[in-house]
Amino acid sequence: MKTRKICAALLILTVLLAPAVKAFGVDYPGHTDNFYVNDYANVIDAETEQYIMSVAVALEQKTKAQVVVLTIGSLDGDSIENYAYRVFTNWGIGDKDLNNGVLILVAIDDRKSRIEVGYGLEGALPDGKTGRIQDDYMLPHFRENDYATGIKKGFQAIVNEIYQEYGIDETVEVEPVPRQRETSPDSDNKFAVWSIILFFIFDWLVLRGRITKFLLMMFLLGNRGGRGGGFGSGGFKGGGFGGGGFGGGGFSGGGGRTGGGGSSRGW
Amino acid sequence: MKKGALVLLVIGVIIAILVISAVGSYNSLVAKSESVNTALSQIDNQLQRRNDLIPNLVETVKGYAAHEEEIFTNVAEARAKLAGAVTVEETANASNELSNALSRLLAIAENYPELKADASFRQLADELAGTENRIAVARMQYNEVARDYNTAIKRFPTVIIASLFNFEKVEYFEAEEGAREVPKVDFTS
Repeated sequence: MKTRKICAALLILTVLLAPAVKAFGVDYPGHTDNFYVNDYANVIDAETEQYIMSVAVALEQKTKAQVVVLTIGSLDGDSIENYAYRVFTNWGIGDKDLNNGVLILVAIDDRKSRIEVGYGLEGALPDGKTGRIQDDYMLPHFRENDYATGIKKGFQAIVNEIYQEYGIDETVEVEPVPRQRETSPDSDNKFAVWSIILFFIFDWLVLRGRITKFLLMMFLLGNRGGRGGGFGSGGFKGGGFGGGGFGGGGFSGGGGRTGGGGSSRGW
Repeated sequence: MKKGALVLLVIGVIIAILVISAVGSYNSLVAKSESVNTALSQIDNQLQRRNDLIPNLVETVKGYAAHEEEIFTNVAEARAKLAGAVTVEETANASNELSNALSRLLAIAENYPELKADASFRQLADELAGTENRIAVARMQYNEVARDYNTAIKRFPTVIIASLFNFEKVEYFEAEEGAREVPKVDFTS
């Protein structure tokens, strides 16, 4: 009984502290509910954000790979390599076993960018290639202060490399085409909500709620186990809905790790 | 007679507890020491990876700046030193020296616009910078597990087991200040 109370207190504390994980005197931000787009510097317009979200979610569903965009104002004196490593590790970008995450970090005030690559994608995205992606797709736009376009193009290039690595015949257009599909942000959300509801109805009608019970149990067990470190403690991780999880009101990392691969640029 | 048996039982229980806890702390020390070794070999992997990049990089730079002999010699010397390093401390220092020599090698690209524009040079420079960063990450992870291990062997009562079975303190992978200089070439202009 007592341990459970302590666990609960720790959990609450973790949730409260999660947005500002502190280490080495620098505040590393927590991720947003969207997880894939964290535009803290406010340089990406809503439409681009929506686009990145939908592409990233689709990619995650097909390959378990997670490509995350983070824009910040300043690095607070930290090196961009260290900053990217910390954030990548804290958020656990990519699948836990495949380690197939990518972090696109842009520090606007410092005029620096970095593509940090998880262990599992070092073959598909060697350092040289990540450098070229920044040179060819991102920096030209960054120099004109058009961060949204630069990030979008770099993001597309990375996603295409990952699809290719997994042998999936799918590419996203590298040219920015204004989206004129009937899927407005609103209906996208509605679709997600409806599919979850349908899923549960199906589960209870056909499987007598086995999956629901299983998920609940996983959730409870996971919490009781007192997840070490406690980063991004919200929600179902991996094994939930397509690995991304709709648990604590958003998407989250799969527990992927990086060894420091990738490259950095300044402009 | 009965009293004697009770005393024996109590002593037996105490000895059993002692043995069990000794086995437990011995095993945990073995596990910790093993993760120190793993982390160290991770550093070695990355050092090797960097070593493999150097010949290509030097050749590429030579193609544009053949007369910068001093820098090539520096790199070769630092490389030889690293190859001869035995202890963790020696390796850390030699690795640091090689990092510095390589960052000077990359820096001369500033004086040779054609070199700087060379696609394969850019790629190699990225690979090198990435590998330097991987070394930094591996070093950090090693130092974390080394600290964990070193604390464990000093702590009571594990310290008894540690001295009994010769678990020795491990060195940290640390070079002098400024070790975290990641070689960089500004490709902006």
